[in-house]
Amino acid sequence: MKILDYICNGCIVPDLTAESKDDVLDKLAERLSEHESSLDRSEVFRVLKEREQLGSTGIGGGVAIPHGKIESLDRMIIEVARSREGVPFEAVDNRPVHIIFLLLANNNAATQYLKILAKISRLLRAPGVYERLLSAPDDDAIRQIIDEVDGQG
Amino acid sequence: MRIVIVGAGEVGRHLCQQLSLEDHDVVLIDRNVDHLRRIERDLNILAIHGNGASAKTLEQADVSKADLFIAVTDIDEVNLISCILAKEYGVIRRIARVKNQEYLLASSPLNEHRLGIDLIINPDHAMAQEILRMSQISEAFEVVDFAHGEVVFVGYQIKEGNPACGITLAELRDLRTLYKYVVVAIVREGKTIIPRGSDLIHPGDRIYLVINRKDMGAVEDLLNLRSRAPKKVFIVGGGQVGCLVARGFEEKKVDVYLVEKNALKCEALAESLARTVVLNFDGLDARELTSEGIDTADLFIAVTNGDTTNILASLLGKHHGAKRCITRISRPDFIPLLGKLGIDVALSSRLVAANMILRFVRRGAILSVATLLGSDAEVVEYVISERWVYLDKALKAIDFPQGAVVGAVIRTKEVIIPSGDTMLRAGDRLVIFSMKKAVSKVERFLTS
Repeated sequence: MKILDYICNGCIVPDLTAESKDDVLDKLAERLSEHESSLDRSEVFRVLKEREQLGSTGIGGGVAIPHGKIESLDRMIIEVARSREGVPFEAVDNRPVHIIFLLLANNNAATQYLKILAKISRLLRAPGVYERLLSAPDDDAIRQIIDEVDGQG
Repeated sequence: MRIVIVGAGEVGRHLCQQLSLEDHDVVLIDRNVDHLRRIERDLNILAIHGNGASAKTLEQADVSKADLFIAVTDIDEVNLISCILAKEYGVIRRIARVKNQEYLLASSPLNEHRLGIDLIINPDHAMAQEILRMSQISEAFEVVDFAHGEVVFVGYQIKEGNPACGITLAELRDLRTLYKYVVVAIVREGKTIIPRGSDLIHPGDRIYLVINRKDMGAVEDLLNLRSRAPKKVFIVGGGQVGCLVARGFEEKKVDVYLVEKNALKCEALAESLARTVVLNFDGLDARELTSEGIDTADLFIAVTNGDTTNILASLLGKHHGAKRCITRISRPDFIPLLGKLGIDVALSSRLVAANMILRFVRRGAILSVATLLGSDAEVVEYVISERWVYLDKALKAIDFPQGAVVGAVIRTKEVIIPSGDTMLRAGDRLVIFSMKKAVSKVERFLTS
């Protein structure tokens, strides 16, 4: 089970800009719904927002891992976004967010969902990964870094 | 702590059992020699024969040296008078079990405040409160507050099909960047395990977490342990408890159906309750239950005065589609059997009263959670000295002894749920969950 297998085509956003946290979630939802016909933009936004209300997934250090479960989805999907300037996300350390990994799963994916979420957390904590993702020139480079680091562990 | 308990009935016995296990000095007073002998034989307590409301007996029990006085006989007046006497002898904290509701009202000429009693336990109110509490917490079977309730110690039963089944502790640990919690123990087939990274969660495990109260919702959501408030509730038995529970649910905007056999009682209930649908039939009448829509009930509560009726009605309710049941039982001996029969929660009035007293006694005392983990584990508190060799090092960089885990770090007034990146400072108080056999290793490690 690799993170890369779940990143859908066109779901790496190398230069995200947004005005607010809601704007971030909405833009990410928009992109997902464009590439995955079964997903409804407003439904994705609602699910992510609901999870954020339980506590921000902006875990500090410029990283956010928004996630949620959607009934209509038939598999897990990951979307990756980067912002060199940083976007507002109401993170726990009140700092802007630069790297976002968004995970959506259907209701039955339970155990796999926890495992991939744990994998993403581990990936983003690995030394140097954050900096490398931030300086990667384009989406292909981002993909490559994820593949390389995820493969190690 | 030195604790004097008056009354060697079911409540008194349960209190003696728990409090003596937690290493308190317990003195038990009762008029019935047989009751005393039985408890004295099984437990490490001092038994005194006599009337708890008599000054002579209390002096014999050396009551002036007690830190806590608990009166739980079956007679209200004995409990009240003995508490008043205890106050005269200078006992700081006093608890009485009182069945008469008059003493509970703030407007009453004699209430908690006027009587100088810290806690008055009314068995019916305690039962109603516990039922309402249990209806909220579905998967958590144990919640203990510490640090003024900001941090809780919670036990969850992991059922077959739960997303955590098949997850390793290392994976759960990775999730801690997103969710602040520590899995401090797993109880599997009666054995306690202080988990390591490679341990797996199995169906049927009871897992114990230390967690910030405000994060409980998020963690329960992640692990599918989310408690959903019931929307539709059936209550069988229109006595005091049934009425209090119905009122509690009304306040939460839950649809309540209250079933009572006695027509006169029904009239009174319909008058005193606002939105509850009061139904006049026998709770064991399957056809009536079905026609009132038992199949869509989220919760079935049986609180008549008869154990048999309560058990049978609950089973009937569940058979016809109610999702969950809470059943009142007056004989605690039955409780172990009921789970196997399909009763989800069985509550005995006396045990509920005793547990409420224990919660009051334990407020803020973290160490008492140890008894919840069974006999092979222990909870120890340890203050980090300024000479410790691992000061200001991240926890993940420290080779902490196997079989023990740091559940919480108390720094001045703040409680920290530790992660791998947490650094320990001099003066930090650690709450450590440890296997009994690892305790000495942990102590050596912390003094190194």
